[in-house]
Amino acid sequence: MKKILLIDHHRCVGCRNCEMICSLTHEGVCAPSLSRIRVARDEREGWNVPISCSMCERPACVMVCPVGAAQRDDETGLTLIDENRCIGCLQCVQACPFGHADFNPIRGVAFKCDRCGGDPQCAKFCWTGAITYETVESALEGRRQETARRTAAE
Amino acid sequence: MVSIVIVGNGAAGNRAAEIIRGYDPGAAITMVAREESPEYSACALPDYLSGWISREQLFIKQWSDYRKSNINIISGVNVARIDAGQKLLVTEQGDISYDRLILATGSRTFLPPVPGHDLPGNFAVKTVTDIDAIMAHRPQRAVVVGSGNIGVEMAASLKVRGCQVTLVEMRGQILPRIFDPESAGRIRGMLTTHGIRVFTGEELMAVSGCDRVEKVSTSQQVIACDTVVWAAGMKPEVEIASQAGIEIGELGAIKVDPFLQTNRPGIYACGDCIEAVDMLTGMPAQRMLWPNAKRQGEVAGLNCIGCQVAYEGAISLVTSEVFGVPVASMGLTAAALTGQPVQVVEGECQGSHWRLLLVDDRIMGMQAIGITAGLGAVMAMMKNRVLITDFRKIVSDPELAQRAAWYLPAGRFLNAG
Amino acid sequence: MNKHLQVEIDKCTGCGLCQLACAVNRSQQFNPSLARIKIHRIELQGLNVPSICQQCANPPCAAVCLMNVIKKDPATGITVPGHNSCIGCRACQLACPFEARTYDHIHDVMVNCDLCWGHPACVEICPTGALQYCDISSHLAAVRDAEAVKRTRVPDWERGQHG
Repeated sequence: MKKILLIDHHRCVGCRNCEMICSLTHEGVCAPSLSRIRVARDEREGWNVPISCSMCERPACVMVCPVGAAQRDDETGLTLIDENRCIGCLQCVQACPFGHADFNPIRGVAFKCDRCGGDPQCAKFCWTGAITYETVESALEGRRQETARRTAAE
Repeated sequence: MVSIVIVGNGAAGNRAAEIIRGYDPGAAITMVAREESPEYSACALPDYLSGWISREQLFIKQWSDYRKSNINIISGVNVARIDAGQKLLVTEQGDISYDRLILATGSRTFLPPVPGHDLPGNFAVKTVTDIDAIMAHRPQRAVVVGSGNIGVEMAASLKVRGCQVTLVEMRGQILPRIFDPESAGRIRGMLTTHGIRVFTGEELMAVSGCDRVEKVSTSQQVIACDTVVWAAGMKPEVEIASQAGIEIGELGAIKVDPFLQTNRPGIYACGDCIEAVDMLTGMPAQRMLWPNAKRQGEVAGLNCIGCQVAYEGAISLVTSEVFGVPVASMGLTAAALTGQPVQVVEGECQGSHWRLLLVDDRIMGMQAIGITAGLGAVMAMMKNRVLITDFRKIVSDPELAQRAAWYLPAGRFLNAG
Repeated sequence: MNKHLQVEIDKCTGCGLCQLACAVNRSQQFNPSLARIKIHRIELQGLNVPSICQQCANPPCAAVCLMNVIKKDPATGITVPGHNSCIGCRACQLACPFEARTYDHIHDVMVNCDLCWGHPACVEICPTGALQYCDISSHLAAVRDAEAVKRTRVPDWERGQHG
């Protein structure tokens, strides 16, 4: 069953814990700029929206990668960047419609979310429950129940 | 401290040393080289012969560069054997112990066993000393045997030097491994208009002369000459490897796994001496080209210090300039694709000509004469195995085309057919 | 630090001023064929696509260079063509997916964009703002913020429900 990183921006308080744990897990430093999840802000409405990889079915980053470093594994549904092949040309960074793929200027490679190999630390460390890692089915079920509660309350 | 020994001072060996030094400033790197010169570009040797560049410009490194990056280089030394059990490299100047060994022994010119191939006036084309020898010989009438890209470039360079040049090729066309007969015919025309005599389908039978080369006999005729330049192929240098019990593949080169390790743990190999897989076919192949050697050196170096990097495969990429006209070949030729449904897309524009080979909607090879701009996109599509239908989808959709702008230059070649 | 020459294709009118500015600034010639920036025109769709060196961190052109002359400048990260020993073999042109290497037919060497060492003439002259020299991370932040607005925009019918 395909699991998705479900982000409920209604619950996000913008603490950026996810950015910290992500960069710590992947790069060994607490550096939000090296995080695979970034909290974007809708300043006017006052929302905090964590944005990570959507693991698209037809990913733009894979389409534009001229060296085949970005590849989608159809079995796991994950799109990963092979750092050994990445030439750091920034094509994926510019192509991602969500501004997700980012570039590490120190190591000279692009990076993106790899779902921590099946155990996303951002979801684990999100204390408000804004980020969860669950199957599509349970995510939909949650949404349905929420709608039901809301309808009943009216 | 890990001690790494690299045999060979060519493109692969030096790239391996550089990449190891980049990752591990503390590793002890020793290079053992047969040649008495710092790294130079073997690809530029014909340009040196023609006088296009000076001898100094050939050299990529100076001796001081090795010292600067703390690489111990022992040059002018032949390796006698490898003692894989003791992890020792036995040379004529003493033994060198290693923790990891990288073999980048390269290749040597293949000299067919024809009579007279050892007469003075016979030259190989491999090292800078070979070219020095040709220049000191002052050739007047030269026969170049073999018409690979080295043969063609040597013929053109000798012509520029004012020689009378004859090119002899055993097979039915020139550049048989990298060009299809149609494109090769055009290049042949360029050579003949500049006064190079080209004979194809003729085997060299003998070189004769009293105490030096005076003439060569082919299967068809006798050609008077004072110089014979051998460019009839290269053979990988595998003697010390095979003596050490390292497995040799069917093609006569060192067999390696995807991490470029030989069957002996701790011994890696890269460059001309290995049997790499072809990126497009996945079959073992020998692509003795500078870019492949450099990438293999990189991969071997990385694996040797513990990074797990699989080699993606070798690909043919040849460019050269024939009397001012650039010619380029990449990927496979129609002959290499025999048995598969090959679709040919040919085009011509302002004196340039190109030929694309498609199999199952994917680009498998391309040859171009007179044009090189935009070929990079084709190369990237070929390496990524992009379907032409996907390509057309991308370029016809403005939204996608803007995101993947680099695909667009390939359109000028693909839309012609 | 992480600045990048950004191209917004839909703003490009294909006027070619960037090519002239580049050729004048880098080769002292009014000759667009010497420009390090090229405009690829797709007549059918009316698209003008500038192609330029992407300043790859690990450039494929350097990986294939037969003379090992293409280097990354350690201080700025700019890909330096290294004219001194270039033999003009054009192998880099085959290796670069971005059509970013130009054959300088005056000096018989290959050249590429060096961002005019921090002050790109093409960006200065671009009349439409299709070429921008901007920080890649702030550009990404802007993309993400726009995405955030998209994701949080409450449809009117839902707004009504919440009262």
